[in-house]
Amino acid sequence: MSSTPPGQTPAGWYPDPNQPGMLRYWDGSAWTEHTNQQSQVANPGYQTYAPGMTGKPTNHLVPAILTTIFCCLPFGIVSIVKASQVNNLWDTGQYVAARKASEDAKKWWLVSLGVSLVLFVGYFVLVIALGIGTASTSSNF
Amino acid sequence: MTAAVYDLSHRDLRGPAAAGVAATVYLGAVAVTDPFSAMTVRGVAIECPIHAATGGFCPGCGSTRAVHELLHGDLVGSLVCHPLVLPLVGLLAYLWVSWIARRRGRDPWWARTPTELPAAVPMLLVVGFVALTVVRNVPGFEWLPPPDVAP
Repeated sequence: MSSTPPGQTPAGWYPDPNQPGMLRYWDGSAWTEHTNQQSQVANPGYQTYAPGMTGKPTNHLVPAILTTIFCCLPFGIVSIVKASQVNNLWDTGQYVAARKASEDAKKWWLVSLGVSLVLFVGYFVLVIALGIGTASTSSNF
Repeated sequence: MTAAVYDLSHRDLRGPAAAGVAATVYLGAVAVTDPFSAMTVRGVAIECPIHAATGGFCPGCGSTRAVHELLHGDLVGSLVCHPLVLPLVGLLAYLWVSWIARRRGRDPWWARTPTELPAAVPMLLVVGFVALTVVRNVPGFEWLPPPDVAP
């Protein structure tokens, strides 16, 4: 992954961290004094100055919590850690890092879900196989 | 309510409705079963595979029992089984109600999406889960074990 590190966000128009509804020009290393109405986001050409960064990414907190509780694995906690970073990164203008944290949060709850499904289904199949074996020698069945 | 049914926006409530149905089915199943006894399949007791394999307690261990205690009105019992379940049920219920409010085109001052929550909320959850997992599993610190190990 060669995503842009925080502080090296490409120059362009981004949501102004201090004035909701406004866009401010980021010259690649610092905010400039140039601002614009957010309503221009509705223009078809908005993607030229905010590619793929038109809204705050979701932090995946709910699936992170549910996989922590239900999947019996520590990966869900990693997902919650990533979820906790999304909002702050976005609000401080680190859009690339915020998007990365969001993707990481999603990745870790998916890992938690996937690994636990394999473990639980495998275990269940094993127990049913054992159960059949036990039943064949048990007078209860 | 009648107006909302004929409002186009009611279609947006399918997500919250599906979540509500899933939660009701889960809570109903936990309420009428006994998570303190091991589940058996064909006469074989099923233990949690993680606990069976490692002997340790996972971050969610005891949560089903905590939900069961909560549904039977025993708040202290719920906190003993898993101290984070009570606050988490409250948090998820709050996010669900917020979700419905937003989907109905309203924006009450109290409504928040998960992303809009203060950063302290997920950070406290991380601290809580890590601390709970450590105190349950580290030798010499095994206070607060789940009362009876079962799935």
